Amino acid sequence: MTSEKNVQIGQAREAFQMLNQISQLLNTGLDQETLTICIRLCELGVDPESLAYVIKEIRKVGERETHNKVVNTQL
Amino acid sequence: MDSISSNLTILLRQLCEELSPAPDAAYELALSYLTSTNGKGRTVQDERLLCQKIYNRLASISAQDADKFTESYAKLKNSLILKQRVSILSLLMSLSDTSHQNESTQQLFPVPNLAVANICTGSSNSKSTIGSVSWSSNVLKQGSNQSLPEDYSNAAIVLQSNARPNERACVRDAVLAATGVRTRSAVGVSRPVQMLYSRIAQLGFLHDRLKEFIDPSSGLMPQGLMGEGLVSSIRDELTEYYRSIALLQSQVCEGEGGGGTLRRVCVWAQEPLHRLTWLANMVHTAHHKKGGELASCIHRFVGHGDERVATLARRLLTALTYPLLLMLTRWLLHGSLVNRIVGVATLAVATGRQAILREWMVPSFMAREQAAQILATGKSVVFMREACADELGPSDHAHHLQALLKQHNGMGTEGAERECGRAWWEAEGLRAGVAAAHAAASQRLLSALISHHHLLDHLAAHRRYLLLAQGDFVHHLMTLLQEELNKPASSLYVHNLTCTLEAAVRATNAQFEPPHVLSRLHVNLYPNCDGREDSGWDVFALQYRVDGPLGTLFPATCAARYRALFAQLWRVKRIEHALHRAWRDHIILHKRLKYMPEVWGLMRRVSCLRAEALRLCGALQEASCVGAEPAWAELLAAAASGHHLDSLLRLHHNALERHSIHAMIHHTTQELQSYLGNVLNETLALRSFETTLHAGIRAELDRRDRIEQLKAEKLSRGEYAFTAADEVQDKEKRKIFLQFLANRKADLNVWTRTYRGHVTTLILKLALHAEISLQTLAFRLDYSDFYKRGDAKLHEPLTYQHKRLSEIGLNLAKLSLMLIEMASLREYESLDEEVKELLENYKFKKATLYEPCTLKNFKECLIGIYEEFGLLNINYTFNPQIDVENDTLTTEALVKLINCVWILLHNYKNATEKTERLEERNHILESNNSQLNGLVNRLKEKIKLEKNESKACVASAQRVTDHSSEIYKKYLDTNAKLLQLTKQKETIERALQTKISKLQLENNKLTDKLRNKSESYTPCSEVCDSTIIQVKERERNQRKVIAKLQVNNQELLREVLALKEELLLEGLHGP
Repeated sequence: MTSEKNVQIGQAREAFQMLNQISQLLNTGLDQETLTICIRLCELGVDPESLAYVIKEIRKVGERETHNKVVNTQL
Repeated sequence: MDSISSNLTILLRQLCEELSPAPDAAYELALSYLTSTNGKGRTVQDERLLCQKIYNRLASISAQDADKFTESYAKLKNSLILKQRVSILSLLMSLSDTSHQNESTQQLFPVPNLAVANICTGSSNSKSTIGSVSWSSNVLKQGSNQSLPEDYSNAAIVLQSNARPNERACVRDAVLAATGVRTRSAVGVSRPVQMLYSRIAQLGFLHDRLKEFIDPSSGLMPQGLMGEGLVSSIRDELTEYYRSIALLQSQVCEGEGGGGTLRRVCVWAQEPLHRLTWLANMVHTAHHKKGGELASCIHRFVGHGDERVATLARRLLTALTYPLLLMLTRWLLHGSLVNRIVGVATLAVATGRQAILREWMVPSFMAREQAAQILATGKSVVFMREACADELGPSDHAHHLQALLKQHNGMGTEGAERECGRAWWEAEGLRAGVAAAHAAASQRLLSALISHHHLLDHLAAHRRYLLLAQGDFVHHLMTLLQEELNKPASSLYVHNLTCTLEAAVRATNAQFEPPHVLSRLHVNLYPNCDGREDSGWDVFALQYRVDGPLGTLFPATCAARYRALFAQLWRVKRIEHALHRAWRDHIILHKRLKYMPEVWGLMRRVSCLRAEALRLCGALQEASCVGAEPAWAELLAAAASGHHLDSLLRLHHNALERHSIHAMIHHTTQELQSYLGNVLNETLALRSFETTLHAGIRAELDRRDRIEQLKAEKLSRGEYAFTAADEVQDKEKRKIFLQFLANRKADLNVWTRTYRGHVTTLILKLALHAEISLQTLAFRLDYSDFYKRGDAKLHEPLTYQHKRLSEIGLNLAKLSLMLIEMASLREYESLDEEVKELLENYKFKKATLYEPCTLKNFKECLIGIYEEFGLLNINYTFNPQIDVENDTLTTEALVKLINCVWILLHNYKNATEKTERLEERNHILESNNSQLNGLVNRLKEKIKLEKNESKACVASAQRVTDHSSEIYKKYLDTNAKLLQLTKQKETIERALQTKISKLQLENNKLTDKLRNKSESYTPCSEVCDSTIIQVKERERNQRKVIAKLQVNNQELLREVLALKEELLLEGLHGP
C-alpha cells in the first residue's frame, strides 16, 4: 500500500517537474506554488481558458495598482 | 460535489493570495468571471494540435527550448497521474508570454542540412519526427525555394559519381579531425582536397588547445571562481560544438543518397573556425591570470569591431563574472566575503575589519572610484554589523541594487550562459546603483554614528579638551592644579586630580556639555619609565576615553597622537600661565617699590624679557591652533554633509597631522621640537629666576619695613631712634642686598644670552623648514627683525632671508605647476572614454604586445615582439621582408621565434623564483626593520632626553663660566692693587727705616748732650719757686698799672663827654 503510494507520489512529482519546466519554457511567470494551485484547479475541472484570463486580469489589476502607487508617491 | 466546490473556492482563494496584493478584490473578480463562464460550452482542444502550437512557438524563439519541450512532453505523456493534461497545457499556453523577448541560447554552431534531398519530406513529417525538422527552419527557409534543392541534389549526384569512395572517406576523416581525433592524413588525394582537409583539421588543433585549457591536469586552467566560470563557459561552447559535429557526422555517415562533400563541410567549418579561433585567442590571453585581471583581459575583447567576437566575449565575460556578481552583492548587502583567498574581485580581506583594494585586480569595466565605492559600502555594512551591533534588516540601500539583482536572479534561474540584453557589468544601472547604494550605506552609517554614538560631539570634545580649545576650562583647571602639579610626580594621585578636574568642570562652561562627553573625560598620569624625578607637570594628562564603535574611529594610535599633542600644548600653556602669574606678582610687588629705586632698572628689564617670552608663547599657541584650523573645519563640514566613513577618518587623521606639524611634534619637525624644547625650558628658567628675585626683594622690603617699625617704636618710647650700631648694621645689609641685585643682574644677562640664542636657532630652523606655515611662523616671530639684528647667523645669505624667499618662490612655482597639471587633468577628463582607456593602457605599457594577434596584424605583432625581446636582451631578429612569405611565417623565423620564447620562458621562471625568494627575504627584512625602528625610536627618545639634559647642563655650565670669568677679572684687579700696595708699603718702610735711623742718631746726640748737661743741673723746684715769686710780683705790678690805666680811662671818658656837651651847646647857639 505504502509502496504504491510512494510510487504515485514520485510520479506526481515527476509530472509536476515536467510541467514546471514547460511552464518556464513558455515563460508563463508562474512560480511553483501558483503552478501547483493551477494544476489542482485544472484537475478539478476548471476551464483553462477562463482561468488563464482570470490570472491575467489579476496580474493586470496588481500592476495597475502598483503603478498608481508609484505615481502617487512621485506626486 | 460540495467538496469539489469547496476545494475550488479554497484553491481560488490561495491563488489570489499568491498573485495579488489585494486578495479579496481579486477573489471577487475571479469568482465572478469563473461562474459567468462556467455554464458555457468548453472547447476541448485537440492535444496534438496544442502540442504543435506550443512547439512552434518555442521553436520560433529557440530550437533548444523546443527540444526540451518535446522531451518533457514525452515524459509527461507517459505519466498517468494527470487527468486533465490537455487543459493544463492549454492554460500554460495561454499564459505564455511572448512579449518578453528573452534571447535564449542561439544555435551556436548551426548545422546545415547536408542531405539536401530530405528537405521536401521534412516539412510534412508527422509529429514523431519533429526534432529533425527544426534544423531546416534556421538555415533554409523552406517552401519558397523549393526549386533550389533540386539543383543541389543534382550537383551532389555529380560529385558522388566522380570520386565517391575516396571523397566519403576523406569527409569522414575531416569530421573526425575536427574533434581532434588523429587520423591518417589523406595521402594520395589531390592538392585542393588536401587544402580543404587541412583547413578543417585546423578546427582540431584549436579544439585541442581549448581542451587543454579546460583540462585541470594541464596546469593552464585559471584559478579561482572566475576562472572556473570561464572554464565552464568554454566547456559549454565545446559541448555545443560537439553537438554540431555529432549531427554533422550523423548526416555524413547516414545520408547514403545525399552525403556531404568535403567542400560543403569546409564551408560549414568557416563559422566554427572563426569562433574557435577567437576562443583560443581569448584563452591564450587568459593564461595564468585570475580574478579581476582575468575579467579585464576578456573585457578587452568586448570592444572588438567584429560583432561576432564581441558577442562571444560578452557571453564569456558574463559567465565568468557571475561569481563576481554574487560576491559583490553579498559584499554590498551583507558585508560578507565568500572567497577571500582567491581575492578575485576587487576585494581582498586581510584580517578582521580591514579590507584592501588591490588596484590591479579591479576589472577594467569597473572604474576605480566605483571599486572604491563598492569597497567602502561593504565596509560600512560590516562596520554597522560588527561594531555597532546593528541588526541588519532589509538594508535600505538594497533597493538601489534592485535592477542589478533582478537581472542576476533572472540569470540564476535561466542559466548563466544566457544573455539578457545587456549583461550586468555593462548595464548603465551599475554605476548609478553602486553610487546610490554607497551613498545610502554611508549615510546610514554616518547618521547612526552621529545620532546614536554622538560622533560630532566626541570630535568636538576631543578638540575642546585634549587640544585645549575650551579656554576657560583649561585656564581654570590650570589654576586649580597649580599647587598640586608642582609636587613631584610620585606624590600625585589620580583620584585627587579627578576631583580637581570635576571642580573645574563645574565651575566653567564645560558643565553644559552633554553627560556622554563629560563621563569620558578623565585624568591620567603617564609616568616616565626611566626613573627621572619628574614634576607633576611632566606626567599629567587629560584623557578622553572612547569605546565601542567609536574605538574604530579613534584608535590607539589616534589616542597616542592626542596625548602627544596634549602634552605639548599643555606645556606651552603652562609656561604662559606661569609667566602671567609672574606678571601678577610683579605688579603686586611694584606698588611697594616706591622707595627702592635701586631695583627699578632690573625689574623693568625682567618685565621686558618676560613680555618677549610671553609673545613667543602666544605666537606658538596661535600657530598650533590656527594652522590646523582649516583641516578641522574641513572635517566638520564633511561630517555634516555626510561623507563616508573612510573619508572622515582620513580627514581626521589629516587634521591631527596638521595639528602636530604646527605644534612641532610631528616626525617631520623632530629637529624643531628639540629647539622648541630648549626655548620653553629657558622660559621656565625665567620664571624661576623671577621668583628668586621677587623673594629677595620682598625680604629686603620686609627688613626695611621692620626697621621703620622699630624706629617708630623707639621714638614713641622716647629713645634714640637710630643708633650708630643700627646704622652700621643697616649699611651692611644694604650692601648684601646690592650684591644680590648685582648677582641677579649677571644671571639675567646670562639668561638673556642663552634664551635669545635658542630663539634665534628656532627661528632659523623654522625658516628652513619645508612647511610654508612654519616659515610664516618664523617670520611672525621675528617680524621686526629683532633677532635678526642680534645674530650674525641670520644675516648670512642662503640661510634665512634668502632661503626664506627662495623657498616661498619654489613653493609658488610648485603651486603653479600643480595648477597646470590640474588644468591638463580637466582636459583629460573631457577626453573620450576610449581615448582615456588607451592612455591608461599606454601608461601601464600593455598596449602593443598584448593586443590580440590576428592574421592581419601578425606582422606588427611580431615586430612588437621583436622590440620587446630586444628590451629583454633576447636575440630575436624579425625582418618582415625576409621572414614572411605570402603572409606566412617561414620556418626559420618560426624556429627563431620558438627559441626566443624558450629563452623568455626560462628567464621568466628564473625571475619568478627570484622574486619569490626576494619576497621572502623582504618579509624577513621588513619584520626586522620594524623591530629596529621600534628600537631606534626608543633610542631617539632617550637621546632627545639626554640632549635636553645636556643642554641644560651646558647652559648652567655657561652661566658658571661667566661667573668665574668675572671673578677672575676681579681677582686680577685686586692682585694688581695688592702689588701696588706692597710696593708702596716697601717704599714707606724704607723711608721709615731711614727716619728711624736718623731719629736714633739724634737720640744718641741728645743723650750725649743730656749727659753733658746733667753736670750743670739745678733742681727744678727752686727755679720754679723763684719764677713764681717773680711772676706774682709782675702780676702785682701789672695790676697796679691796670688800675692806673682804668682811672685814666675814666677821666678821659668824662672829658670826652664834657667835650660832646660843649659841642652840642655850641651847635645850638651858633646859628
